[in-house]
Amino acid sequence: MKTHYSGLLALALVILFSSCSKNDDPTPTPEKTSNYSVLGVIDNAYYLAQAESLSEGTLSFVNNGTQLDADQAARIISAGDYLYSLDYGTGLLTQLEANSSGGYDAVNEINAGLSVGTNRPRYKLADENTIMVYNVVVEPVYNETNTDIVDNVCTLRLTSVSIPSLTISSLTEFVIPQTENAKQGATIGYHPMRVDGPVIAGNKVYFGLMHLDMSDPTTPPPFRKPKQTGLETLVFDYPSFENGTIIESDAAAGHTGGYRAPSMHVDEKGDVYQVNWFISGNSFDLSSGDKTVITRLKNGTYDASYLFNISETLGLDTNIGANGWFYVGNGIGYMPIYLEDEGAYSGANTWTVAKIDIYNKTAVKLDLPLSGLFSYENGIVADGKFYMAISPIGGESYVYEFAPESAGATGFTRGLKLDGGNVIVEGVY
Amino acid sequence: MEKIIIIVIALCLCFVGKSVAQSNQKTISGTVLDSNGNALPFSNISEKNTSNGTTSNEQGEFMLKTNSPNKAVLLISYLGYTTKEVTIEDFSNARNLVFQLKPKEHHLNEVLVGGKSVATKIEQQGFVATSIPIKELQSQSVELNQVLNQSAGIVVREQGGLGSRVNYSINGLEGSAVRFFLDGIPLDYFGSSYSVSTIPVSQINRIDIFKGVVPVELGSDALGGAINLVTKKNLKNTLEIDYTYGSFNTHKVSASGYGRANNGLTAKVSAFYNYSDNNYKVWGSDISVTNPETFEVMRGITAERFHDAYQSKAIKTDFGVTNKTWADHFFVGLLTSSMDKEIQHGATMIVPFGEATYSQNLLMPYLDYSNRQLLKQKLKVKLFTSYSGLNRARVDTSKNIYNWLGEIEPVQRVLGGEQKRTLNKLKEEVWMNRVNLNYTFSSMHKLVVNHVYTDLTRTDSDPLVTQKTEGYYAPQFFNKSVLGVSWENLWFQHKLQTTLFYKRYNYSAAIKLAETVAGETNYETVSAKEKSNGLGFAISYTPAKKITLSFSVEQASRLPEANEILGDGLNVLANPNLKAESSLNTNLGIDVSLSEQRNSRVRINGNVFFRDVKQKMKLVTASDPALLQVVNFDKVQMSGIDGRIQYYYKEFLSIFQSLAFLHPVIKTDSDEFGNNNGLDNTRMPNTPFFQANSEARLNFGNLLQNKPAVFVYWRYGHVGSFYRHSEKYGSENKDHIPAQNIHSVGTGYTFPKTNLTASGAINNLFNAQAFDNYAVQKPGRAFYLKLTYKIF
Repeated sequence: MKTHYSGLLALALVILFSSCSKNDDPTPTPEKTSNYSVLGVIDNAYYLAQAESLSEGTLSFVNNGTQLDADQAARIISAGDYLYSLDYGTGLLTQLEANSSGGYDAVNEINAGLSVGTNRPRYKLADENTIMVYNVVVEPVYNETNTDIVDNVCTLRLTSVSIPSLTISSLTEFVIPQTENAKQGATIGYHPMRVDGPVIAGNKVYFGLMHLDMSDPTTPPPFRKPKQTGLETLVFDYPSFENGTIIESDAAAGHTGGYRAPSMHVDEKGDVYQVNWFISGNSFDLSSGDKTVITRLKNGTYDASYLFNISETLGLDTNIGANGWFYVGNGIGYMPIYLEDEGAYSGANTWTVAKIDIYNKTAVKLDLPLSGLFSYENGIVADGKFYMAISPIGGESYVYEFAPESAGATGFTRGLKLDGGNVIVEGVY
Repeated sequence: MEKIIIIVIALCLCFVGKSVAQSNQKTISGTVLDSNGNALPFSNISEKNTSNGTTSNEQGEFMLKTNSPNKAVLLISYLGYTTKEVTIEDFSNARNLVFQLKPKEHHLNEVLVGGKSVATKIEQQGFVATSIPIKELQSQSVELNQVLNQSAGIVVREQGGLGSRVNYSINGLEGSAVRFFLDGIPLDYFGSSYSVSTIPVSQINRIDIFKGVVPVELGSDALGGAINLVTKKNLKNTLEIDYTYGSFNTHKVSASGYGRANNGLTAKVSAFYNYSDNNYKVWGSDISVTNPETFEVMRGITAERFHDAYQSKAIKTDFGVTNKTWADHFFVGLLTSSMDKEIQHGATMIVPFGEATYSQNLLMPYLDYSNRQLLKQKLKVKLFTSYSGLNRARVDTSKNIYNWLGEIEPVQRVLGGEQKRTLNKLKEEVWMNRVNLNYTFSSMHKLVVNHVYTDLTRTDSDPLVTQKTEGYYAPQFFNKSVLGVSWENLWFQHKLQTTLFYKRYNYSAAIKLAETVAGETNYETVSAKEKSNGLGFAISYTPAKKITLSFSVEQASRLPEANEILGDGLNVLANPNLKAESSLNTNLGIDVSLSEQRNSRVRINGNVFFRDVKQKMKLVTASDPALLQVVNFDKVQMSGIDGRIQYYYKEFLSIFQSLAFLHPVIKTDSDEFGNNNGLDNTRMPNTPFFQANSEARLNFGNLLQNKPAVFVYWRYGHVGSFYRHSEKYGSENKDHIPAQNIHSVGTGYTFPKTNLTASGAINNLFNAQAFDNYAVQKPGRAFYLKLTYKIF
């Protein structure tokens, strides 16, 4: 019965697969009706719509765009001619292709979540041909009498998805070692609870780490206080995923995995640049000496010769926070920054963007309207410009075009006008 | 508030004095029954050759005073029944008499009889109400939920088969806005094992549905309306049993009995057991399997639900005395019930579960007292007090991942939990008290005072959740009280009925909050309180016998639920500042009987309504994006129209048609953060807008003549399609709930002179794929057989 079924399944998959292909060309070049995609969220529903241009015109989600399957949320990756949407809550990963009516058609689908044993996996484009899907599970270890938790075992499960074929490699399981630094002498102090933001550079793959403070039960993960000392990153050999190790730096403190914006980028020389994340549960919890920095990782280790102190370089009166950044090229990047003096880090107009130069270690706060960028996901580089959406609460929402060559605080222009209001634009692709 | 109490007391005292002055009168009291021992409400009792008379109440009970010195001759009549003449000679023995009337030929039941049934009376009080007599349905294999869903303006949305979660809405207001009662007692704390979803239709006599404006007798914070289940009032000894067997291995047994000894000792027992595998087939693109090697997804398979079994059982016993001078009834009761449910999936069918379960049990002792004879029969008192201990347990620890073929996938979860890893146990202890006073000043004026007080203590534990705050585990306290006072009047030879009422709502809660500073957790108990007032008015006018116009308006409130104010201790934060949700509810109704001819009769009712909801509670993202909190935020305006046409031809044929349109519009111009709200002035998402129900029934033979009787019925329900999210945004792949069209048929046969009825039903005759909620398919075609046996 089982074999019978497998045969049927295989047959059905062949039919499904062949019927989804637009033509028999082995390297299909689908007609792209649009250059850009915009992700909008309204009242917990996720919509993806095409935009002809990001620098001008208007884009509204009113009667426009494709609703994405989103049990709890949808996460988008753009790579090559396709977009990929992960349904967080079911774990289904759908490959999407722009159609001629302003929306998207599903081309192919895999159960990415099942490959790592969860319906709520995380994923990221690690290089142009690879999406990584991963999940960390923290399993408590009890004492002999089974009454108290004495430790936690943190297991990473990850698979690589080759794109655009959407084929999945076998599962890698890895117990993340807990450093002395992470435990801080406590039996169950901080422990790794999430990895994110993987990048592949040369023969290494780097995963940022997020630590959970088990000693404070009042704030749920991941908004526990970040680890107060040190930075940690998980490194594997690539593509073997062997020799997993934790590398450490005492250059600053915090999480290294980013939140939704990516924390790490690989530059043209193959070096990895990483921002730390400090935003804690209820307030901006900088201890003295803590700061927002960019560190460099090379050959599977932190490069102690490089440190870019963003906090100090910006020289603002207020403390700043960050949880990710976007890289344009030639050392230039854009980083959403939280201005602590403006108020709460979420649900308020307390964020702006800094233009940074990681080679020359310069940073300038741009004169943008303040908005909420804590959970902003994605900006893109096109024709040498950087584009991201800025949606001030109670104000008008636009995609902004940033000029990397401009040195001043006004090196941007307003581009594509968006719906605004509670149509939250989380990313452009 | 205090003023009102003073006025009430003053009025009471004033009329006590008046009744003392009339103390030379003699009193006769009793109950009017049909030949089966069922109460005949609103029957006429008059003293022969005098103008003295009265009518019986809903339970067939009456009280008559006479000035006759030594004997009185009573005429007891009820339309469709032979009038009975009784001579009373001994007034000292003239209490709690029982009169049974024999039916005339060709009158099948109260609905078909030309006179007004209880149901009709309730519908014509000025409140917009629908009263559904269940008598006819008792031998059919139907659920109370199906009966409710057939009613105009009521939407019952089921999450699956027997025992699944159900959401009710009345004229668009849903969830906690709709409150349930059993004989006027709030069902809020009876648990899901003893609810509308489980109580057998055979134990219910009538369902009263009040839309938007709710009389004070139903003492609760019913913002959108109330549904009162009225149980059978058998006044002679009975024992009845019924059994249903049907598709998906469904078994339902119900038994009820009543016995009264001559000395007044009375026992009532009702019990039921429901079981179903719920293994119905589901299909379509939401049902998929994944190739375990390639992880390719194949959608569109047909699967049988494999982890959806359900059982519920309950025994309710009352033991006490009835028809005593000091008590019409005084019962010591005990309700015990339990349910077990397998959980097949979460909010949609996309991810199936194979091991998660939910169970609940309830133990509820209570006292129930009623006396209609205080202050010279002018004051009626009903008291109910109960303690309920409810335990709820969720088990979800499995590491196995299931697919829709019921197979376990080769990959396991590292940490268990299909929906949410938990071994949560919750215990709720609730004291509930209801006091209902009904003072009749004259046959034209009545004052009703109703007070319901509940006090809840909740404790909860979950050994698996290490992040939960200690404060949450500690007992949490929540109490609420709802006081209602109403002044009911009849004017102009009963052509005009008015009811003016006032309600007062209070809640208080003690919330234990935790804060950790530098690794040290401190707890603080914060108290939360809220008062709100409501005022309402209902008027009905019957200018001619066949037309009744009604208008009602109420400023209604719904207090926060314990969960909303206390939080869930994990992801939903407590909110000590939560206020009551409020709504201004307005109804305008008309009820017309087009013909009173002997053979055919048409009755039409229509209702236009408007709801203006403010401070609607909403679950939003709290100051931390990972946390949620219930806040008072949304404004919604709802307008709509619903109506029903009933046609009867003799007792042979009945045809019902109902329609309901709803236009619910969001009126919140900015969101909780201060953004312009793009949803402003759009229709509410995930809300059905149009509903139509049809029913036709044929009866052959005559049940009252002890001849074989056969009935056949057909029912059709339609719900229009609607979007799960905003109708305004997006154009492709929008989640929508397709229109549903469900036909059901049934038939039944009553064996002559045996009290045995056999009936059969086919639900969802055409096996239509039907959804009440997004991506949650309801059962397809199902067959049921039911046997009903009246032992005595």
